[in-house]
Amino acid sequence: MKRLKVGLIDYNSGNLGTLKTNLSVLGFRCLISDSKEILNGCDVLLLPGVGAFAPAILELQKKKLDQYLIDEADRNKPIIGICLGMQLLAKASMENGHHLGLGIIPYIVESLPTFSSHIGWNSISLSAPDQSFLETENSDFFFNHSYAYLNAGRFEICRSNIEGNSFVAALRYRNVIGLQFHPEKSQKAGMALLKQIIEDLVLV
Amino acid sequence: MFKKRFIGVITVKDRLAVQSIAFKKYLPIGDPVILAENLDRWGVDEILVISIDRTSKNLGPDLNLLENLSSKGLSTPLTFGGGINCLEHAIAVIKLGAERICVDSLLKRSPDVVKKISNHIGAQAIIASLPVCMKDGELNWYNHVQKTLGPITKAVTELFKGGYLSEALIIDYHNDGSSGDFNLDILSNLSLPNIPVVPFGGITEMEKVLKILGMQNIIGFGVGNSLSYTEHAVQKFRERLDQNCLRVAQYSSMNDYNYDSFPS
Repeated sequence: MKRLKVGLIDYNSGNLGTLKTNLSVLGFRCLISDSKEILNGCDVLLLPGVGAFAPAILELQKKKLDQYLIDEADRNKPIIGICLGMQLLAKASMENGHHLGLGIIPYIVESLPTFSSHIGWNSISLSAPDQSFLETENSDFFFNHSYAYLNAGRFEICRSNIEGNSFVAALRYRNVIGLQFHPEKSQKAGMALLKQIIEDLVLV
Repeated sequence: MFKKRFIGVITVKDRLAVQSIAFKKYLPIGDPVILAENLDRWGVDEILVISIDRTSKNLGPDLNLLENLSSKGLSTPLTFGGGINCLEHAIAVIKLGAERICVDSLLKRSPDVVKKISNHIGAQAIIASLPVCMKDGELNWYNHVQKTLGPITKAVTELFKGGYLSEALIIDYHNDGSSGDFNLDILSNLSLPNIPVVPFGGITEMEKVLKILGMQNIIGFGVGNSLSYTEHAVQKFRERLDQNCLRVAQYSSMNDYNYDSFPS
């Protein structure tokens, strides 16, 4: 089987170094780029993200990658958004004001209801049957965020909760998957899930 | 279930992992990259790497060390500190593979720069390191560059209140490097209401961990070099604690690196 090629989108807002190495550990070829030509040649696009919403969406706009991602999502290109990368898929975010997102997921990113930040390991529970998540459903994953989708309607795959207040941990729109947690930093369970998602998106 | 965190701390001086004893004496341990690989394999919840000499030598963050760490494919969250004194440093550290940064001297020197960094990378990505001690019944903040003691400043309290910092790493610097002597009075005298706290320094014994985790606002604890000296230290901590509190212990083998079959 040919090695799948993952395009890591470089927009100055992500932990690219770790992702590239960890995707290689999983057996994928990995390219870091902001060039549409190079990204077009990849089987999966991965939008990472560590940081605040407003500067991140601005960086995507500066590199003219915002419309590119919207178009690719429409064309059913497999896309994975991780953490802030998942939030950028939203219609808008309320982080430090109101900022428009890519609008691929027609819901809003809001502040977490009880905690100012959710940093650490938490379990997820499926809210819709999704083959990619079945094996790792009861595992713990690493979260590091202050904002989240509190609701994503029919797009939700699974939720997580902090002291009874839940939020969306993963969502899907056609071939676009968003993960609020960091699978690449969630040890065995996270790495296994990341591999499963990438393979399912491309091969199914 | 949201778990408390068991953080493995690697203190680095002159690019070598060291055992720091009360911020005065430093015993070499070895290559910090190998220590980080061990902590990753043993399943700590987070690895915190702090280079303690970068600020005093005005060297900036040790990006070379961070690159080496990232090249190892660690799948444990990484927090990186030492020498970060501007937004560009913080962005570089995140881009090279750390999820979070740890700041200490910058809190004293330039609270406005901390705000700027927080606005860019998000408060969840910044932890404040506060070496403290109890003296004459009062909590004192230690300035390890100037070697002076003083109260936690209003500017730092305001950074917490303003939501620019996510957590406080409270280091008992007197008991740093000791066996199980973390001073619990520090936590009860901390005037940072509702701020998530990670105690570190002299935490080696299970009884101490149990007491600490029972205190208010404690979201985890840090353990340093003692993890390297005890077989299965990480797993033993986990097995003694309630599974609803910490993640369950994991024992790795070479087969774990075959991600075609999960769970292994």
